[in-house]
Amino acid sequence: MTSTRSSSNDSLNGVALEAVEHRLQALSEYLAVYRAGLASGVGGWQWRQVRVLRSDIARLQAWWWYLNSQQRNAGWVRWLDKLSALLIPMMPLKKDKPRRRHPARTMRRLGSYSLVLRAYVTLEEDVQGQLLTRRLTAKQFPARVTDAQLRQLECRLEQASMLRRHHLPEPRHVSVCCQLLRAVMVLRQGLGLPLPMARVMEP
Amino acid sequence: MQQDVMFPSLDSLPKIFSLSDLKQRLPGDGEHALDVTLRWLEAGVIRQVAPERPVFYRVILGQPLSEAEVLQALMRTFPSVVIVGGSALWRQGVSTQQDSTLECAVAEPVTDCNLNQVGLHSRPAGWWSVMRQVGGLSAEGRHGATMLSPEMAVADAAAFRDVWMPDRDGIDWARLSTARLCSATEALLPLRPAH
Repeated sequence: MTSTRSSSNDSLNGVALEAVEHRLQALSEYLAVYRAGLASGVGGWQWRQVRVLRSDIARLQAWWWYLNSQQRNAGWVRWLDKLSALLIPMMPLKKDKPRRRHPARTMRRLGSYSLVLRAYVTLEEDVQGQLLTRRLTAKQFPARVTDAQLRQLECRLEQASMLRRHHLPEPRHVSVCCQLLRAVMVLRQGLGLPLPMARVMEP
Repeated sequence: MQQDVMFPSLDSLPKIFSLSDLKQRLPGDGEHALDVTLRWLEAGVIRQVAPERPVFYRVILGQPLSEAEVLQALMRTFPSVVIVGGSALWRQGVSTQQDSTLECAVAEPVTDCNLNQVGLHSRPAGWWSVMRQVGGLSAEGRHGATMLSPEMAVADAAAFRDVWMPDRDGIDWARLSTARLCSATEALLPLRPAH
């Protein structure tokens, strides 16, 4: 029973890593376009977009490092969890405040938890998009799609939805992990040490 | 009444919408969104902007999507989209020949798109860095989408040879800077595919 639960957790951790990598890829593409736009003298409002994207990418990279190390059973993850448990009671609970209005063309700065949640939701919706295409093809051209292909996608979707519904970490824990690991990453970069980075293709 | 709650009217949705837009209009956790979308897809009243992407557009007979809507659909589906080739030249008044398809470049290897009036072309890793290094984008965008500068549009079309371009006589060469054209051509040389 324990081993089943552990393998299920491992597989969900893999889905979480995939979601974060997927989102990092999309954000890197947005960043590449905005940076190219800034270098070409496109509207000044884009500098804010670039700053927001850089911060989002850095925090998601930190979360990817945490998940990746957790999957590899790195010893420091347990210490980080303990430290996070100590720090969480000191952090104020965020109250639901009405969002500040931003100019239509600027991005909202998301908290670390919202950023991670959005990554998980995006993966779920992308799998749903794939499933819709296959189901439609299966109805129109039954020979082109096999039941096994549909079942495989349905299984992926189930995992993605399970991840979003039942395996989201505590918001303040995400925040602590992202902030601490981001600081460590900056330090490592400053010292010239190799950085643990997700596989993201630089566009 | 119950029927209305379960299946929101398609007219209540914008012309371009995503699965998350639909989920927000449905009760519960958005479980029905997939079923509702599949029914609409089967009926042919909506289409996916590109296969396997959760972004859709409404199909209304006699009302094709406007350019702003097409670009909105593309930007929601492909984060890296940039207008290239003859489409970039025409929209900056450098060409006398209008494009029949909107030529766009994306970072992804996928080039399938269900929008009839769009041609998608994949660009290799490093292409966006080159755009940044040489300032290859136009300062004026189009409905929020980025566009290549005229010089870079010509250099890119010459390097990749996969986009529609107007005839040589159709381009107002006097409006192009020779220096910028040379630097754009040189910058793209390492990315040039072997033809």
